[in-house]
Amino acid sequence: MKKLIVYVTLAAGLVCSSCSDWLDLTPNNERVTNEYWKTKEDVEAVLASGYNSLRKMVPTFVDWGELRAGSVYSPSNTTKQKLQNFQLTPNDGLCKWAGMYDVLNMANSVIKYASEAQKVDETYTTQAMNSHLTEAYFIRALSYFYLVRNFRDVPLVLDPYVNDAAPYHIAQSKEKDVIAQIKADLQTAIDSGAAKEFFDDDEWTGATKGRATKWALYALMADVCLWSEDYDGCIQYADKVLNATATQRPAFMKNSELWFDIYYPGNSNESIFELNWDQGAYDVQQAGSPSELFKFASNTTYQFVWDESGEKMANRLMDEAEVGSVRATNTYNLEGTSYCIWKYQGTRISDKVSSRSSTEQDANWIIYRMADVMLMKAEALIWKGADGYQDAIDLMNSVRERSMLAGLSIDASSASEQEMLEALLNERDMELAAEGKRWYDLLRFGRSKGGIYKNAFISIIESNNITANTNWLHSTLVNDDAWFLPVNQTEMESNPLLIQNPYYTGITA
Amino acid sequence: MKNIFKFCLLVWAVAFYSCDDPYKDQIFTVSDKQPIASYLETRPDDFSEWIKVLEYADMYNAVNLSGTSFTAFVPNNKAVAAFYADKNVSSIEELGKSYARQLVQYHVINDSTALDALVAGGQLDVTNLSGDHLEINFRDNSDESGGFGSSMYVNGEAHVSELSISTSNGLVYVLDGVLQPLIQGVYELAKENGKNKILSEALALTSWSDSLTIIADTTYTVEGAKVITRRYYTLLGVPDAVYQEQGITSVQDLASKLGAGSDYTDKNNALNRYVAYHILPGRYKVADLQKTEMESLTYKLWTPECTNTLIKISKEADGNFYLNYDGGEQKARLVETDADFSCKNGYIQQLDGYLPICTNLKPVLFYWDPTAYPELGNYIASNGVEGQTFQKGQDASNDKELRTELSDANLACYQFSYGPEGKPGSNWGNLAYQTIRTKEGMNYDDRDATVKVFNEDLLSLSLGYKGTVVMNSPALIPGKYKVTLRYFYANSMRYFRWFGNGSNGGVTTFQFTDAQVPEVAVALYSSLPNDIASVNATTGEITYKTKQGLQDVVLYESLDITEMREYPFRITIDDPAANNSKDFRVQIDYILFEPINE
Repeated sequence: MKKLIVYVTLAAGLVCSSCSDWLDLTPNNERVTNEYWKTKEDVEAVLASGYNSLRKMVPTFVDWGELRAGSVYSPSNTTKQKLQNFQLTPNDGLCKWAGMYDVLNMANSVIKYASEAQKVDETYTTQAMNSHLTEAYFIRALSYFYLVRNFRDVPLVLDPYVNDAAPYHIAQSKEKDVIAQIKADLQTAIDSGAAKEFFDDDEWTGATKGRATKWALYALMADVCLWSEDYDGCIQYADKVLNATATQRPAFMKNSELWFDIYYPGNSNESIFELNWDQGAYDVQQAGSPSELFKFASNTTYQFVWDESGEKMANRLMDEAEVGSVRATNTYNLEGTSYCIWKYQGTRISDKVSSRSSTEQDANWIIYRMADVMLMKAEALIWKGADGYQDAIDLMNSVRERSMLAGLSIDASSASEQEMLEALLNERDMELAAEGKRWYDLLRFGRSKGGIYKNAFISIIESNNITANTNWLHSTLVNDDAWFLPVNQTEMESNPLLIQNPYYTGITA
Repeated sequence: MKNIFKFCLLVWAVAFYSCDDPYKDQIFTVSDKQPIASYLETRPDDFSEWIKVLEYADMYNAVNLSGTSFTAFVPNNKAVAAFYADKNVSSIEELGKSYARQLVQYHVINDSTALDALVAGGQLDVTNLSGDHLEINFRDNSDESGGFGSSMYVNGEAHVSELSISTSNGLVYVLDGVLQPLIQGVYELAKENGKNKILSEALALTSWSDSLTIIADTTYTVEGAKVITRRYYTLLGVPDAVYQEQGITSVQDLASKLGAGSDYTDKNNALNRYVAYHILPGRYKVADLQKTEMESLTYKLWTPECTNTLIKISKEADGNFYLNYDGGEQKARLVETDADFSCKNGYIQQLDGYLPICTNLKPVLFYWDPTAYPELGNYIASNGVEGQTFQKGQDASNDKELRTELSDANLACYQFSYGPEGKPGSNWGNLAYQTIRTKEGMNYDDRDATVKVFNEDLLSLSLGYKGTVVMNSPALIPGKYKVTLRYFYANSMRYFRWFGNGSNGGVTTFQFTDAQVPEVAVALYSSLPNDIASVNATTGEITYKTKQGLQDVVLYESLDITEMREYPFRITIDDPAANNSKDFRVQIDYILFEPINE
């Protein structure tokens, strides 16, 4: 961990010592490029800044990935409620994408200039450089994947903003072009063969999970393939993780008793990629950590949805908990009538009292882990057709078994595609609760195959959302454009080439 | 005061309407945007008809004024044409100037209402120029190309087709329909709705019709300022068909069933009391009537206009909400399919039973909030300090606690007197209604963040040494109760905790004067648990761990209530510090009544 911080500090130092803020999105002075890229440490520093910028996005990832889906909600924060009620307008800060482009700028800088450093630094091997590049491609692909899932059409910026020559008024690219770029980046990284299976770092034991490995590239590729309805691709890349034999591979942890290790202490064997925090090493390092976001109090920002109807997220968790489900028993906690999210606040599986101390408010944010990839593959199998249903059920049951749950009662030979998908969605909801996945899961359900399950998708959201007016929700969700965020008004005004999402056209005040 | 202020401008304009447009020679501020009326002029294809209405009502220049901001709901030409067709007229002139003025006032709010407020739905906080609350609702439309807010309607009757067009003096929302101003009160509409004939006649016979026709009260402060307070009622209507099931086909049948004498206007007459039992002071939709005050409770006790009675609305095991479930066959339900009929001064609801006065309610746990008087609610709605909403804390991050001083409000619910030394200086108001801050992380109890201020408000008393206030409890159901006072302690009261400022520890005396129980004197502050954090060796000043907290003190272990009625409750400030410290006050949250099962 320390080393990462050193990188960050270094990069921050650079920002200060150089004549201008070259890490910024805005165009900058050309001299920085010539003078900066001299050693491999310089490259690593920028890469570390990329991870650091990604970490800063975690509060946004939580909001974007959860609030609209109605499993995790914000009971009282009016700004967040606008997002969860599909009432965000272009004036709201929650639809700013600038933070993502900060991350992209780091990735673009490494991709473009790592070779400059290699020319002057004799100790910087081609292999080391290529390895750095795979991380940069991963960061770029992941960033665009978040953007495309939230905004659909976004400007495709592939060059760093380092000199005035780069055009910074860039029009949006279509979703399919953005997806193609993401896949091309991941393919480049994979094909280079330079991605690491693990990071051997004496100072930071979490490096293997906190930096992008070969496994992270595969998991992201599987996820992107699933989103873009390339089910064979999804299965192919999921299998590269699930069937891996390398000694330093991530592994599905079958032992139920170790389930909470995924969150505390984190960086578990199950993990493929997670953004790391370390409060002990550096006292501001908890800022933005899930431990800070998912507080444990009746007026906390995020809770699981519960209501008397008995079918909401907290109700379903309680139902599972009653039959001994490990993941359900210990992922929420009742305080009064609140359903606080426990996985980032607790320290162990056996009770709901042992919380993290005030000096351990630094849970990591898991982006990919094995159960997620297993369920991605199961979903791809289902979409592919009935032949894959049994394998999909087996995968779901493996995940359930780990939680000490009985297998699904669904019958592969008679189940419909919709029934299979709904079982899968529920499985993901319960297993990956509050891990920033649910909204994208629902979107895939609502959009794939030309939107044949659009109505089912809408009714899932309507039945889970307890804060928005049903008529409002329905009238909003029938318009596919409303599933995506507006472009922020300040961004619209600073880039004349941007076109507002048609759902929000005309809304400026 | 806020509403009066907001009314002023247009009231002034109205005062001149008979002669001429009062602003016709006024010069308007020039800016890059145009004011509302000028903006409408730029789109004659859409708004030429509404402009004619504005001009005829002499309101054109009023909505063009700079220096104040408006929200204008503007019906487009098509909407105005449809409205005329519906009214069977061809121009606004045929409806008369007074109507035109009401119509425009109904469509304008003297405040800038941001899109967010509309999108949130429900009743808008700020009233329009005719003093009514507009309501935003959403209708399901399955138009796949409908843009943001395409499901939005005002008062359920006019679709909002263009949102928040920014002008130099406010925002314009375009409507596809004309809003019909609410003119009639609860009584007129009950009489005309065709289904509450018997109850309407009973309202007339008992003279309750007079109250239900009143829209607002006008009073004057000591300084002579005019105070307009809107009055609201909710009528629990009984459809004629329901009476028929009881063999009641006329108001005379009803009177004889109730055993009423002939002096119907006598408040003790059985028909008069029955009618009053069907009138709730305040405006409540069905959803409001189904709310409870605590999540742990499944019921709420309501106080109708009939003295010494209660209506219990509860959610029962079958999932339905009942009125007076304890009353056996006499229980009733709200008809949700015929609900929330909107009137100028409230709502009419319908029941599926005839709801006689219930005398056999069983004692239940309840929280008496000594600020939950409809009279106070009406006063705050019309005259509360800017930004204050009755029983609603302020949740925006920069908002403060808000206090409305009530000592000059002449409210019947609080009979108070200052101590012999007269009105003391106070930083907190002498008799004040305070709403709290509810933003995230704002706790009123350091020790337990889950402890919340009931109804998000407090009654703050600073009446001087020996000052008193008397207020009536709701009708109490006969039985034995443990009675606990909950009050608020803040760090600024710490001096009284260690007997500084000549304090005796905050001694305050309480008594239910009609209930055959002794006075109870409590040192509210010195009796708090000893949690001294440190003592300053030189000044002697004590710092406590608890900076603020909601405290409980048992007033009566057993209070025996023998008669179903309201009981006066007297609070006397018995701490001399109440005269010499501006920080002295007693802040009451609620009084809890817990039935004792024997």
